[in-house]
Amino acid sequence: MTTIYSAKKIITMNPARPFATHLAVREGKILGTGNLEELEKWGDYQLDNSFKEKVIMPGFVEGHAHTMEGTLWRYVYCGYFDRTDPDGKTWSGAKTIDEVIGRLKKADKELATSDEALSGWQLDPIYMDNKRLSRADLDRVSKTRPIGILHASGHIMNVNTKALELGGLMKTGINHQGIPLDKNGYPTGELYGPDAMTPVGVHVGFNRSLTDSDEAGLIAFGKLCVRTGVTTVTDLAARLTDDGVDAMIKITNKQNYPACVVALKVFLGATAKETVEFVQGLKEKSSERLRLGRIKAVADGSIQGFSARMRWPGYHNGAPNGLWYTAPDQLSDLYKLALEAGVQVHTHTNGDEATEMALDMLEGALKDHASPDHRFTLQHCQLADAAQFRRMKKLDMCVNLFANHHYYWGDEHYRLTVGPDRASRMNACRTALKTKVPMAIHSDAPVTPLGPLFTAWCAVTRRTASGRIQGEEETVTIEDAMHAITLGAAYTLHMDDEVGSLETGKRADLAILEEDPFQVDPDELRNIKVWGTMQQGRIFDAKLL
Amino acid sequence: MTSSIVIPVTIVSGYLGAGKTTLVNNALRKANGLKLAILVNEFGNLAIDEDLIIAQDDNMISLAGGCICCSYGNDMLLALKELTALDSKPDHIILEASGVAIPSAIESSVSLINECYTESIVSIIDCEQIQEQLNDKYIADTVLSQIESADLILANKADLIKNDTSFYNWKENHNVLNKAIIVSHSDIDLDIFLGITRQDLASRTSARKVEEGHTNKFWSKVFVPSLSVDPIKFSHALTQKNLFLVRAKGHVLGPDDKIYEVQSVGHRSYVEQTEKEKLPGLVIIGTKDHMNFDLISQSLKEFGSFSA
Repeated sequence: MTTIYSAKKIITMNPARPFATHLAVREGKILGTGNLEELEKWGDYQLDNSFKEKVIMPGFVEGHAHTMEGTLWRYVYCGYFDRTDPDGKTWSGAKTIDEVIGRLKKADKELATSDEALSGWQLDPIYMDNKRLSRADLDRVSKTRPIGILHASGHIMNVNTKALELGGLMKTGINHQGIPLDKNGYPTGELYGPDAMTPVGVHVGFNRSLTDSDEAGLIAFGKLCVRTGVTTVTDLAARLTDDGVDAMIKITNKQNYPACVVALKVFLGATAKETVEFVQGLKEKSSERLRLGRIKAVADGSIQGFSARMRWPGYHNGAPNGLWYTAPDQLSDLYKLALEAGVQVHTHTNGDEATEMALDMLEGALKDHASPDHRFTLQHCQLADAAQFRRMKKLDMCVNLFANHHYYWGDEHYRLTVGPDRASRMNACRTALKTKVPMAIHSDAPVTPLGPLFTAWCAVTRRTASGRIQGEEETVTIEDAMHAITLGAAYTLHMDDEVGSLETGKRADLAILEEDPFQVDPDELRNIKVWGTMQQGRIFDAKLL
Repeated sequence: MTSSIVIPVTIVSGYLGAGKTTLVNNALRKANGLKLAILVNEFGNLAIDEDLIIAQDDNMISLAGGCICCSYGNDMLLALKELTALDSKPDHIILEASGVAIPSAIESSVSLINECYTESIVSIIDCEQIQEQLNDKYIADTVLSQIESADLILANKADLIKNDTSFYNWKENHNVLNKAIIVSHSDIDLDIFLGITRQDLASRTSARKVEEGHTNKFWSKVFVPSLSVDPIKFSHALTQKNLFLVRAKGHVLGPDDKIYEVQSVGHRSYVEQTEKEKLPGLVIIGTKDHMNFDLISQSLKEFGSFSA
C-alpha cells in the first residue's frame, strides 16, 4: 500500500532533490519525493492531503538526551523557564523561591498521606539571584514528609529537615564538602554531588537508578518526542540493566511507540573488556525502534560544577581543576577494544583538557587499531578550541555540541567559570563546520528541554538567557543548524543511511511543522509550532497524544 | 551514636596498575578468621583470585573464611550502607577506590554513614611508574592528591627496580613519598595494612597458626605511658611527620583517671574512652628505614618512654 502525502513544502535535506510537494510512503519507508505526477508512477496509491498546509522535514534526531526526563515529570516542576510536559501542558516558570514553595504546597495538599515523599525537579537558583533554598523554606511546606528538589544540573538537591532525618544527616559534626552547614552546625539542606545526595535521595524518590527510565517514563518521553518533532532519540548514558533493557524492548515494540530509541551503555563500574563484550551481546536485541550496541564514556565532570578538567589557565574564578571520571588508561583501553570490535564510543568531555585527553587516547588507539569510519564522537565538548577541532578532523571524529547550554548557562560562564574569551568560543559550531568535523547539536534533556528547533535557534543566534549574543563569530546559518538536527546527528549514530533526510529507501520519519524554518526570522525559529510526527509511516498528532 | 558496632573502613587508593587488587587478595589470604568485606569499583577479570571464591552472583562474591566482595559500580555509598546492614557484620571493610578517585573525597563520603568510619587511607604506588605519573600532564595532580591524603603509602613493585639508587634518592627527598614503605607484590602484613594485631587474629582463630614476627622492614616496640597522659595531645604527638611512625595502638590512663584507647596511623589518630580494664601501654611500629629512636624518644618523652 502506497500513500502519497501532499504538503505546503517538503524540505528533504537531500541535496539532490532538496524540495518537494509530495512524498510517497510504502511499508514505513520513503518511496520517493517530488510532485504528484512523478510519484504516481509507482502505481496504486492513496492521496492524503492532511498535511497540505504543513511544512515537512525529516524527523529530528536528538543525539544527546536521556529518557529519564519522562520519569521526572511525575514530580513537581520547579524550573525557572516555561516548559511543556509530555501531556502538552505548559508549566510556567517559577521565578522566585516563594513561587517554588507555593507550588510545592499545592502538591503537598494533593498527597494522600502525611509521610509520603514530595519531590521536585529543575530548580536553578542562578536565575533567582543565587538565593539559596534552605531546609527551613521547605519545612514551610511540610515537616512530616520528606521533600527533595533536584536542581537543573542534576548535581545538587535541596531537602527539608524530615528528609535529612531519614537520611541520618540531621546532626552536627558533619565534615563534607558537599554538605554546607548552618550557624548551628546542622546541614542547610543543600546537598552537592552524588555522594552527599545518596543517603537522603533514596527517601525522596531520587536514587542512582534515576538515570534509568521505567516503562511509564519511556511512554511519557515518547510523547515529548512527538511534541518536538523528534523521531530518533538517544538515551545517552543508560545503565542498561536487564530490567531496563526489558522495559525498553517492551515499550518500543508497542505498535504506537512514536520514536526510535538509541540507548548507549555507560562505561562505569565494569572493565573496558566487559563493557565491550556486554554491548556486543546486547546488539542482537536491537529492533526497528530500539538500537543497542554503543558505549558512552565520561571523561570529566561539568563546567558549572567546577568538576570539568581544564587546561591552563583553569577556572576563571581560581577554582581548582576538576576530576577525571575515567582514567586516561581506561579510556585508552576502551577505545582500543571498541575499535577492534567495531563498537562505537561516544565520550563526554566538558573541559578542554578532557577533550585533549580523549583526542590523545584515540590517536594512540588508532595507531594500533586503524578503523575506517569509526565515527567516535565527542559529546558536549564545550570548550574545544580550533586546534582541537582540527585534530578531531584528522582523527575522523564527530562532535555533538551543547548549543542549549550556551543559552542557559552562557552568562554564568562569561562572568564566573571560564571568563569572556573561552565563554565566547564555547560550543564552537562554526569552527566545527569550517573544520569539516561532522557535527550535531543537542539538548541533554532533561538538563535542558528536548526541542531540536530550540537547539537550532541557540546555535543560530547564540543568545544567552539574559538576551546577550555571546560569541557571534560562532553562530551558524539556519541551513547548517537544520542539518545538525537531522543528518548531522544521524551521522554521529551511524544512522545517516536510515534517517536524517527524506530519500528513497529511508525510514518514513517526518517532523510535521506549522511553519518553514528556512523562511522565518532566525529569532522565531524556536517558536515554530510542531504539529506532530510520522515515524516509520505511522502518524502521531501531538494534540491527540 | 547507638551502641551498634561501628565498622572500620580502609580506603585503598592508587592509580591503575599500582597493585591495589593484589593488595586486597593478599589481605584475604592473611585474614585468618577475620571477616573482611571488600568493596571494589568493578569486578574485573582479576578482581579476586579464583581459588578464594566460594560463590558468586552479579554483585557479590562469597569468599573463604566468611569474607565477601561486592562491586559498587556507580553507587559506592549505597553498597557501603548495605554492607553495614548485613546480618553477619564484617569486622573490617576494605574499599578499593577507582584509579582516579580522590581518597579524601571518599573519606568524607564514608563519614556520612554512621555505621562505619575511615580507619585509614592506604595509597599504593608503582615504583617503576610513579615518577612518570607525577610528570604526566593528565594524571599528575590526581596521583599527587592520592598520596598526599594517604596515611600509609606502599611503594610497590620494588623488585622491578632492584637497587636503583636514583629512585631511592628521589623518594627520600620527596616530601610525601619519603614515608612510603617499600614492598613487592603488594605484600604487607595485616597489622600494618589494616592495623589489626596478631592478638586480634589469634583470639579469633586458634585452629590456624598465626604467622610470627615482622618482615625485617619494621621495628616494633612497647611504649610505657606515664601515669597521667592527655590522650589527645599524645595521639597528636604520635602523628608528627618527622618521626616516621607507621602505626601505634594501645591504652593510656588519662588525667581524669579514665582509660583511653589511643591509635595512630600516618597523620591520623583516634582516641576513645574505654570501660575495659586495660593496662597502660602501646605498641609502636615504624620502619627501619627511618629509625631514629633518639628523636622519637625525645619527642614523646613528656608522655612516657619505651620499655627497655
